[in-house]
Amino acid sequence: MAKYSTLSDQELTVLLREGDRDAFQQIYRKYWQDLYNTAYQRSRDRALSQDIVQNVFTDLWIRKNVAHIQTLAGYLHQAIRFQVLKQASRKPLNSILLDSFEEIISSSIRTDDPLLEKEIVNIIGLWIGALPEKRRKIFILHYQEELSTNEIARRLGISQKTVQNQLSIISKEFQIRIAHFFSLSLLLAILLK
Amino acid sequence: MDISGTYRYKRGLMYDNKSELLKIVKKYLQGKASPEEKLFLEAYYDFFDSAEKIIDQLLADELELLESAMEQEIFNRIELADQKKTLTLWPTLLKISAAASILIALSVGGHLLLHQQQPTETLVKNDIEPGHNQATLILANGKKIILTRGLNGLLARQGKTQIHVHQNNIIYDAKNKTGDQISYNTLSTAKGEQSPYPLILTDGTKVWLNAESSITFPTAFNQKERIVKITGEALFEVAHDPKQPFKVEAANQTIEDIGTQFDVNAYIDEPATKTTLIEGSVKVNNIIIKPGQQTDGSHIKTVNTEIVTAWKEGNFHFEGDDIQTVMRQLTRWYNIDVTYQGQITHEVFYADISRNRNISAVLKLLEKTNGVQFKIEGRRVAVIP
Repeated sequence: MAKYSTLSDQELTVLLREGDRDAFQQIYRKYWQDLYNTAYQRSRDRALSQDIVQNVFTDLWIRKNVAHIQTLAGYLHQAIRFQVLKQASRKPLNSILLDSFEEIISSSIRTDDPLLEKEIVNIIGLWIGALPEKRRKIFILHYQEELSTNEIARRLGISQKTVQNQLSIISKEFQIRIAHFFSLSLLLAILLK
Repeated sequence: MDISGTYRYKRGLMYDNKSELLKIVKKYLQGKASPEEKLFLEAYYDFFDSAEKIIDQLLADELELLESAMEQEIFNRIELADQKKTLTLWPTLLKISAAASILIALSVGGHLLLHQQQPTETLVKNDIEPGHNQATLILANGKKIILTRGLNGLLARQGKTQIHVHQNNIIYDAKNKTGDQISYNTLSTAKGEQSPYPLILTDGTKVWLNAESSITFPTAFNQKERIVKITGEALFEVAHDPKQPFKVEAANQTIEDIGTQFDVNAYIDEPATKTTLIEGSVKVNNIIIKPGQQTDGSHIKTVNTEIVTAWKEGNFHFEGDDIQTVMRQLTRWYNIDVTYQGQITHEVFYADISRNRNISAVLKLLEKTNGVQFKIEGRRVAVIP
């Protein structure tokens, strides 16, 4: 084992492909804590995190000959992400990852923590960018161009009721957030499409 | 206009942010997410990188334990995967052996094979409900009082001690220590029961009782030592008093409190009586253990106390337990009989699930670990490899 701990990730990957169990063990020992943390941060569930880490390493072994491993860390983190999201989608009712969303996007504006604030703004921007086109347009016309619901309905050729629904289905807190986002003029290229 | 209706409508949709996120997650997993959705989801996922790290909270030996437990499980799994692979290299051989095993199975009893394919719907159809909050209090004169949720007020008197239920506790209240003859009461639970309230003894010590358990205690602590006896499993929060030591007598163990919260698991069908210290300090058969440690009276090991006390929080928490350990816990809570068909699996199980769920929910979770299936017939559960 001693000699394995001095090997680089690249060397370990080569040995792993050859079916070297000691190399596999070394990879596990090097990365499990990092991966366990990652899973726990998104689930706050120790048993689940343990399961996720075990799945990732078992899969790594099974797929060692077919996996495209550019860097070990990158590959493992991608695998963890996939597992974390899979578990969240399987049990959406008690998923910290899913439940925190409303809280994050509706959180009050954090001028005391500019770094965190920047991250939240970034997520809101990307979220708006990922919205279905019609809804995104309504948001832009309402919050950016400050058009009335009547005017938005006319421009998009949809009913005023639809526009009102789209705007009112989000919480007050989130509305403040969105207005703030647009006031920052952080118009990402995505939004202008 | 129906305002409440509108409000409900709005509220219902407000929470839609979550289900829209879930939609994106599902698309992402299927490789169908748009570039914008991917960008968003990955940024959102990364947002959690700043959340607190669990590793920092674990003690060095906890880390070591976790590392080796997972390592072992992973190596077990890859061993199995490698075996399966070797088999597929020999398709003809496999077919022959499969045919042979069908023949053997049919001649031994065809039902064995058929049941291996039992769909989980049957588990649901024959479902067994969880245990409930009930316990029996036996007074000194043998009179029994059934305790359920929702009681309030004075239950009985034992000498100068009053027993009441107040704010979700069964309280033994002794006006003064002297005078009374010693009399004993017993609080017990049957299979499928757990105490609806914690018991508070006259000294203020708090006791929670798991299924199929009992505690016998004096109605007032008038002796030099405070001694109680238990069977099954109980969790103690002892009101520490160095002048009047508190002792728990359980199968093969005497636990002496040095100020503290601890769990005693003394089920006779378990391999050993185990005392786990959550807080403070206890002496078990003269061995002093520290918080986070467990002893059978001769050895000490470090455990995750959250798992040990999961029952008190209304959960089953299995972490690398073998099937028999798992089934013993289910037996007590679901009041079932367990039979094993064929070879007993060596697989270990990981599950964290509410005890309020029907048994099918628990069994389905266990079935996810390959190598075990279940069949329910009445109150009998068969474990099938």
